[in-house]
Amino acid sequence: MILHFVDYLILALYFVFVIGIGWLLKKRATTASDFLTSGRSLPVWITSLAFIATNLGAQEVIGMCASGAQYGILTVHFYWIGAIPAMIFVGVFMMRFYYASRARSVPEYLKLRYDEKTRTFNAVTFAVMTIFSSGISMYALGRLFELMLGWSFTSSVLLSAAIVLIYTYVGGLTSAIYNEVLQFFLIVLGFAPLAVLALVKAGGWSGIQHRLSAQAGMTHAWASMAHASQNPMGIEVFGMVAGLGFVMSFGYWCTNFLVVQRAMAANSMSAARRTPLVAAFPKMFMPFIVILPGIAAAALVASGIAPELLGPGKHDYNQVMNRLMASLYPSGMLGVGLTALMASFMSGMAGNITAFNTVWTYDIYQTHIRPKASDRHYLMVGRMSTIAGTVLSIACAYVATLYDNIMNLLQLVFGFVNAPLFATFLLGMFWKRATSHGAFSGLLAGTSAALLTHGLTVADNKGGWMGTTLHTFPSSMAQNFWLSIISWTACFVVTIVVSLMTKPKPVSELRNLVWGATEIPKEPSEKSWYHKPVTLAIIVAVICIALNIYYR
Amino acid sequence: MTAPHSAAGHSAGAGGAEPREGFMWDLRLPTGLFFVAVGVILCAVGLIFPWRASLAPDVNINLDSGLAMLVFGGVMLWLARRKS
Repeated sequence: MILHFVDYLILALYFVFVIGIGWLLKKRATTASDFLTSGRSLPVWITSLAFIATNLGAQEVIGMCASGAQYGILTVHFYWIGAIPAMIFVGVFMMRFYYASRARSVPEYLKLRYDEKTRTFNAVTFAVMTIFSSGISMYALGRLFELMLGWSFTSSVLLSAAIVLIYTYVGGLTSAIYNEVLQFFLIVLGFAPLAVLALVKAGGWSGIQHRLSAQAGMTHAWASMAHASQNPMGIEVFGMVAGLGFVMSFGYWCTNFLVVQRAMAANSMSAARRTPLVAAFPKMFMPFIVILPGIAAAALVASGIAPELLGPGKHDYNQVMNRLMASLYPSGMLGVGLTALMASFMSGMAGNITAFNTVWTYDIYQTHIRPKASDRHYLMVGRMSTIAGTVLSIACAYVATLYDNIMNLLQLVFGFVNAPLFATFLLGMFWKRATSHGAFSGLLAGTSAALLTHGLTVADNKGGWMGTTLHTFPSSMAQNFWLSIISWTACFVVTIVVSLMTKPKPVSELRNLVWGATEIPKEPSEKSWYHKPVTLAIIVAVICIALNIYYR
Repeated sequence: MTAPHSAAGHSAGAGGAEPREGFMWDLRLPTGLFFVAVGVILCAVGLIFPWRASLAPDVNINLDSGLAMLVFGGVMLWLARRKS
């Protein structure tokens, strides 16, 4: 990768803007709740863009491109059967609970609905997940620096850690949300030309289909899913729809405080509900920017035009996006692409570390270690935990080096944390009879079931650390999907059984926490159709179904 | 140049029922300024230097993308100006 002065100029320009915005907004973050939730004052277009920009980190850009190259068009299911239906569900049903209960975090909702031990269990697993997520972003940014600067992996990771620390420390969430919006535009404008170039180079969509015709299922999203052996992901319709479409995606979007928090920063309940629905529009079309280049790269490799995209020897999917940029962008756009990637890594890391900081400060430190301290004290603890979170992320960046596709690791972490939690949530919100002992034993059972599955099954030489191998999956992703189905089911069943054996909370204590016992504050009837959540949801659903049918 | 002044002005002047109203307006200005600046740089590079990528030797992607960014940045600035 050869960089010229102009690439550094664009990079520098971007950081001047980011630091400038952070510095300007910092003056306003004077109280702890200001610093952490932006005071619930943001307009919908900003919270919506921030909502998707939050997970437009290394996961999306590098991981989706890597998965496009490894699994082909099956990767779009992360969007069209996964994220979009889940975002609709969050907007139409879940958001009113989050907003009405006035909880600052998902663990806080768990405390109100269940009890302290359930909340703490979740706070701990969630904290682990945020650290892994930011560690994976740090790994990917490190790999980029490796390629760009020719540095060693260790120096590259330390550099990215230093950058994110300064970034988070300077602004907190307020600047994180605002910078995420800028980054979102930068990613779209920086990578859309790459997708177009890669598509044209591979001969258009029909050219890609032709070049990948030898690899079954790379270019048909549904036609190859009757049996696991017919597609590169090694998954069949049930595993895909139940594992990814239901457990993983609903679990991620409903229970990931990191994204929910973005909607909670909106200026009214109606605005909070519209946030995921408005966000679904750009989200639906992200595959054309982040997955398509990966599929095109696979086609270019298969036809021998550019075999270097997947690297010499064993395929290294994590570097596909970086290598595509190096061979399709000259200096100038290369600088824009690199800046967009760095921006996306930073939003991934900063968002996760900010969430870690919130969960640690409010749900663990304030609850168990030092309650009733001053606001100023918690603000200080929040900042200290940012540093601790960064250090822990560095360790996770080294775990990520063991995976040739970071998406495989990321979904594994989600399977452990979000899958059981989603069962706890569903039951908590829709079943008054669910008890706190039930929820706690359910979460424990779900997480243990995930451990057992990972310990007793093998995929891509990973897992099976318990000694016996009961099953071998065709791909890591298939293992992740089944692991999440199993852990969700374990949590769901155990929660119900234990709940039926224990004493439920009186209904008076469940007000505003359970469907049916909630007085939804009267929303002023919206004048225009595009302000009504249900109308937006129907439009999103129709477009999404059409995309699924077209690329079947 | 104007961004710092306007932000400071809003924070000092508001302080009433909606102290953060100025934020939304603020964001369009830096976004617009940023993309206009990047657009200008890219167009200049595309017009002056013959740099091409190894896999796409016949496309002047700097000029094409630069123009797109100029348009996007311009629209953002126009929105910010209209709002103020």
